[in-house]
Order: sequence, then C-alpha cells, then structure tokens
Amino acid sequence: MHKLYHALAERRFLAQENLLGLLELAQSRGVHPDKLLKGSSIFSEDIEDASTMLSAQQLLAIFKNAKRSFGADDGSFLLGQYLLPGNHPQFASAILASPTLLDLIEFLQKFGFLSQPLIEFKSVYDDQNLYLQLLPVDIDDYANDFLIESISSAFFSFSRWLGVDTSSWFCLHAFKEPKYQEQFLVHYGLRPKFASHINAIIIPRASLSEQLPRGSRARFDLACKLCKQKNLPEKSSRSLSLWVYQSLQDELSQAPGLEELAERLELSPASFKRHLKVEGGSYQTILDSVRRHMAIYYLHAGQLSTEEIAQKLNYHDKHNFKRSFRRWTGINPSLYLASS
Amino acid sequence: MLQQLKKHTSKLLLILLLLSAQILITLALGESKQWQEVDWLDIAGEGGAVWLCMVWLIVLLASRPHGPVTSLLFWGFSCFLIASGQDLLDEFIRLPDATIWSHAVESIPMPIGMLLMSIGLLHWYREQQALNEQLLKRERGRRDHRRLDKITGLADAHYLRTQLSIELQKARAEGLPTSILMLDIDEFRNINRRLGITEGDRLLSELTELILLNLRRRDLLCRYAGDRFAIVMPATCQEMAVLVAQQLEDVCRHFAFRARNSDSAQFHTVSTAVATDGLDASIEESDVVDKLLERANYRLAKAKERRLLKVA
Repeated sequence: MHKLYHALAERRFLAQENLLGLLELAQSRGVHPDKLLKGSSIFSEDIEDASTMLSAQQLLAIFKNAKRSFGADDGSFLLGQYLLPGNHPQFASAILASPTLLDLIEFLQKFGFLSQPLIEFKSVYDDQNLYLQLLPVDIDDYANDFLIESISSAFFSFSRWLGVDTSSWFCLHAFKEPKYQEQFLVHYGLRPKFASHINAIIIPRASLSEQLPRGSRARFDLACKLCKQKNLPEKSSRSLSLWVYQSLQDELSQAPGLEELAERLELSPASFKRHLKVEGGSYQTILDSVRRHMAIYYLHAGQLSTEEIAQKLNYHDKHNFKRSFRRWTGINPSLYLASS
Repeated sequence: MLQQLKKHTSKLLLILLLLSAQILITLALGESKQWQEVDWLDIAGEGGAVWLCMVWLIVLLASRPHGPVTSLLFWGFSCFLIASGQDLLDEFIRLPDATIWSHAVESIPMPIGMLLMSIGLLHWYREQQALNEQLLKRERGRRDHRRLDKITGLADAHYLRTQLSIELQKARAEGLPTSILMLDIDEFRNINRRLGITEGDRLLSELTELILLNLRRRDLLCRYAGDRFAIVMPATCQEMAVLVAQQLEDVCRHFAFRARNSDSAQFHTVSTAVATDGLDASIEESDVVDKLLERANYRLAKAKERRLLKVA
C-alpha cells in the first residue's frame, strides 16, 4: 500500500526554489531575510545551502511572517507576479501553452503541487459556474490571507495574460476586508467579496472552453506528457488534514467517524488525534470546514432548500444545520448570499 | 536615525567637548556640596530641562540635513543646553562668590541662544515655504506622513479619498466640475518579471517625477495601488482632463527608461481614463467619491481592453 499522506511537518520542499520570489521581494524592499524566517527554525545561512529542505508548515509560517514584515500593502500582489508561470520548467511550459481555461484549471488540480505546494486547487461545478477553490494545505481559510492574495492575483493576471476576459468572474475571500481594497481592484481587476468563509474564484462555465489566442494544443500535450514522465501525479495527500478533508468530502452523506478514519490509517484514535493536532487541526474543525464549504456551494447554486442542504451535509434536521452555519459564519444560511 | 546622526558627528563631538570643559572648569573652581545641602526638587526640575534640551538637540540633528537652518537651530539649542547645564552644576558644586564664571555661563548664553533660535526659526519658516511649493502637487495643503508611499513618495488611496471628498464638497458648493484622471502602466507585470521588482520600483518613482512635472499647479497626484496613479483635478471639465490625459500619455511614451544604468533605453506606454463630477449640486448622494472612482476605474479597464485589441 502506498503512503496515504505526507505529514505537514515533513521536509519535502527545496528552500531556494520555494522562497525565491519572497526573498527577492524582501531584498528589494530592504527587509532582512531573518525577519521573514522568524520562528520557522530556519536561518538565512541555511538557505544559501541549495540542498536545504523545508516543510509545508515552515513555508506557511514564512508566508504569515511576510504579511507583517513587508509593511507596504502590495507585497502579496507583487509576489503574485512571480508565482505563475513560476520556475518549474515543465509546469511553466505546460501552462503557458494552455489551449483553454479548462485545461489550465485541470492541469493546476493535477500538477499544481509542482509550483504551489501550499495550495490545493479544487473545483466544483454548478449549472452556470465553476468554483475554483484555493484550499491551504493546513485547511485554515482565514489565517493564510497573504498566501491566498498572492495566488489569487497570480491566477487573475496569468489568465488575463492568456487572453481570458475575467470581467465576469467573481472572487470570494474567507478573511475580512483589509484596508487596502484598491490593491484588489488594480491587481485582480475586481473587488472580491470578503468574509465569505471560503476562498474561491467563480468562473462562468461558458468561458471555460473558449480557445485562447496564445494556446497550443500540441505544445500543451507535449509539456503535460513531460510533466507526467518526470513527476507522477501525487497519490498521497499533502497533509494529514488534507487527507481527512478529502475523505470526509468524498463520503459526506455518511461521513466516516474519527475511529474509522484512524483505522484506515492503521493508527489508534489517540495518535490520530495527536497527529492532527500537530498540524493545527482536529477532526471536528475539518468536518466543519468541509460542511461549511459545501453549504456555501449549495447556497450559491441556489437550487436546494435549506432542508435539502441539511440532508446532503448529513444533519438530522435543518435547525441543527442552521445553528452550525451560524456558528461558522455568524449569520443565517438564508442571509449568506445577501450579506456584504 | 543613527545613519542621519553620523553625518553630524563633528557637531555632536563639539557639544560634548564644550560640556565636559564646562564641568571640568566648574569642578576646578569650586567644591562639592554636602549631601544634606542638595535641593533635590531643584535638581529634578533643572535636570529635566537639561535632559529635554539634549533630546531635542539629537532629534533636530537626526531629522535634518546639513545647512544654515540646521546650524542656527543647533547653536541655539547648544546655548540653552550650556546655560541650563551650568544651572544644574550649581546645585552640586559651590563656587566662591568672587568668581564670575558661573554667573556668566548661566546668563550670557541664554539670550544668545534665544537670538540664534529666532533667526533659525525665521529661516526654517522660509525653507518650509519653499518645500511646500515643491510638494504642492503631492499633498495639496494637508500633510500626513503615515499615508506616504515609500517608493514614490506620493500619498496613497486613503489620502486620495479624503482629499477628493473635501474637493468635491467645495467644488459643488461653488458650482465647479472636478475631474479624476486614472493612469496605469501597460504590461507592468512583465516589467517586474523581466527586470525585477527593484527596477519596477525605480520605473514607478521616475514616472512619478515625470508626471509631476507635467501637471498643473492645482492638481494632486496620488499612487492609487500597484502601478495605477490617480490625479485629482479641481475646477476641470471633462474636455480639459482628457487633454491632460492625452498629454501625459504622450510624455510617458517618450520617456526613455534606462534599466540598471544600461545605455539602451526602454519605452513604456500608459493607459488613461477620466471621470468628471457634474455640476448638479442639488442631488444628494452619499458615496460620490466611491462612484466617481468606480467610474474612472471602469473606463480605465475599457481603455486597457481597447489597447490590448489594438496590439493583438
């Protein structure tokens, strides 16, 4: 049996490759690298060594430091200009040749980890739209705002570079509206909806399969083939939290309990809990996240009644669901779409 | 702060030398008092004055470059410091009545210091007026250092909103139109990618100077966000604003940017859009500022689209 997941603290990423943009930005803004690396148990001398490996947990901590240390409001957006197409050769040549937006998104889901180890790209469809969800590997939608801002702005500006008209898109951010709303307007080209309790980009389905002017099917297929040869698509989840999230989402109508998940991993419930705690989560918070995200999708799609949503999310009745939803978001499900 | 102070090392050394000489001479001339003779309340008061004088002196040097105004203010403060220092020394050291040293040092520098400070302040006022003239197009009558952008030295979008709302209120009362001009560098993302953020920042600051040169006296330039600039144009109709926008586009297109001090020049185009607030003061709107900015941003997005189509 292959490994089901990599622990969040496993050092699997080359420091130089993953911090290149951030360190260059820090240098041009006169921020000392040690300020960025504070609390990540890595020092700037370590990074000079090309073989230094970092864990996703350390990278997440560094991104959180970045928010504080840059001072100016445009740090995350400037970083976004470096993220796509990025430095990974096969990954970059593939997405630069994306024949359609749908190809780009499907490729990001399969191989996004090559260039963006901290974000899981997920997609959900309803009748009109595709929801491209940006899920941080530690399943924390709220605390990773710097990371989310930079990846969103990278995706927006890269899509526009490919020739996609992004004017009919929407963007949802889980965190509260920051003071620098103008930055979003200039770098995203639109104003996101904040305090939405999910990080996602909403794309009308009609625009997904339009041919892109810079795309080339032949070059894209070739680059994909190279990508597959050199890097197998990941079979194991990038963190235990993400594995739990995926397992719960796949079987949400009869969500497996804590004991059952522990058994699948051949762990005792106590050590399962302990491993999750190391990643900063718990079974309950992850289940809440899955349910919250799905509830938000159903509400946006607007086809199910509150009762039916409650049923889909495995609640006994709609009152329980409403109570939970209020606990997650502070408002009633019926008011969610109207808010802000 | 330390770096700025290093430029004034000679001044700092000089004042330290003077103070130590003063202490040595006083010690040589007099004798120390007994502990019970010392009046602690006086020491607290006079010591506080000396301490504050030193703090001000350091703040003054740390905040100003060399020049006549700095020298005048420095010598004024130094005189204060010496006079109040002598006052403080008298509390610890008794001098024989016959010496005029203490008396002289206590009273002579004070009026000289006053005089130097007054002349210094007068020049400082004139210097400030000259600076205000230079900063006019950057701040328009209000200064708030917290809202300044580090790269271009321009005010940010928050400052733009407050100024625009003041301007709109005034203009509507007088029945004058107000225009807002948005300016955005084309393909700035690629410039950052190709040349690096440091060069991108330099292009922004050089374009800032260029735009400032080409604005009228009453205009206000702000950095909106990223590579987008906003210009508030009081008492300006749409046609005039469009004309200025066209001129700015021309000027920017001909600006030869030399990356990393290389000899070959790079040229960049910019896109502009204009929105004008009408004359109708009778309509009570709550978010005029937001609506005006929104309109300008929308038109800029359209202008960008047109430019992309033209290139393609």
